[in-house]
Amino acid sequence: MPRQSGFVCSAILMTCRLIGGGALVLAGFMKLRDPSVFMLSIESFGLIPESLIPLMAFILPWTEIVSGLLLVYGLWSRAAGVIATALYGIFILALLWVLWKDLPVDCGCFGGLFGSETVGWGSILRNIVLASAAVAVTFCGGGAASLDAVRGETIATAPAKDKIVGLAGQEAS
Amino acid sequence: MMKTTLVRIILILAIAGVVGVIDGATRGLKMPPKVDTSAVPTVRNVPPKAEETPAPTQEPAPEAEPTEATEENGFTAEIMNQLIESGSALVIDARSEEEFAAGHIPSAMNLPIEYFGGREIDIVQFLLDAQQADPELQIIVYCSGGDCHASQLVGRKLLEYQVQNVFIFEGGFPAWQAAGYPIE
Repeated sequence: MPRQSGFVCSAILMTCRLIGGGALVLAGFMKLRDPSVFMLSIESFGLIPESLIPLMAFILPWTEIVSGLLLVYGLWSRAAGVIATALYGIFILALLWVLWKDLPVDCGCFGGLFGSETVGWGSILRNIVLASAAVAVTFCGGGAASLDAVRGETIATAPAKDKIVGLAGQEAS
Repeated sequence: MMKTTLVRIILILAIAGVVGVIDGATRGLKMPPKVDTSAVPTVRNVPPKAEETPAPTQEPAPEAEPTEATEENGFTAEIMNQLIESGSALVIDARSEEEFAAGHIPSAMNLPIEYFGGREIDIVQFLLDAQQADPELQIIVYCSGGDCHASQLVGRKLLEYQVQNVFIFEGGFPAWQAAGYPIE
């Protein structure tokens, strides 16, 4: 039973990593596909000085891609999880601000991959789900099926007690 | 553990920052040009006015009012209609495919902002070719009127492609409908 719960925990963490990280990688690549469209999206939010927008239009997608890839592979999972959580948090705050100001702007999410999307509660809910996945990895690590675990950084999610029983069994025999 | 995580966060941000700056410097860190929304396109070869201007074919939609911006700069649905009738302009609909399919200004081409990145090439090439044949040709972009942002985004992308004489019809589709002109 404990072995089974460890497997379930690992599977959940891997799912969180793949969803939270994969979405970041996809969003980053789509934004880099045409940075000027992303620049215009940032500008329409009206939150950043115009002089900083071009810089932001390149640094933000690369931050998404680097942290997203680390999450997907489960390398430096907690650090990548913190950055992913911060990114999703910033997106949620920006979207809430747009809703509060009632600005009819395009979300700019995923570089328009899924078509034009006006900011709404749907885009906020999606970011909350993704942020939750990133938070789970931040607190629990990458799980057993991650490069961190291969490198011996993350303790496999199978409870240590299970190992002790096994060792004791070996000693007994 | 905490310290290691913090160092890694800084490293990740530094790597992303450096790669981002290099990528930006390579591809050009500048904003797309702005469209002058206060300008009004000029109508050429306008057919005699009044009676010959096609009468509105449907009742104005009471809830759809032309925006203040339209009245301020004088670019009304009537001018838009004259531009189309006289062949002075090509019209671009920057709204989504669904909105375009539901109804649009006759002869308008659909070019939502999400097309940029690959799917815009044919239309942009068509506009460039048309302007090469007629350098005075004006390109009018519209969306859903009011504060809609799509026409501004698409207009700026067209300017980036060196398309000339780009104008924004700020009243957009609601102003066109409200004036009672036909839709397709």
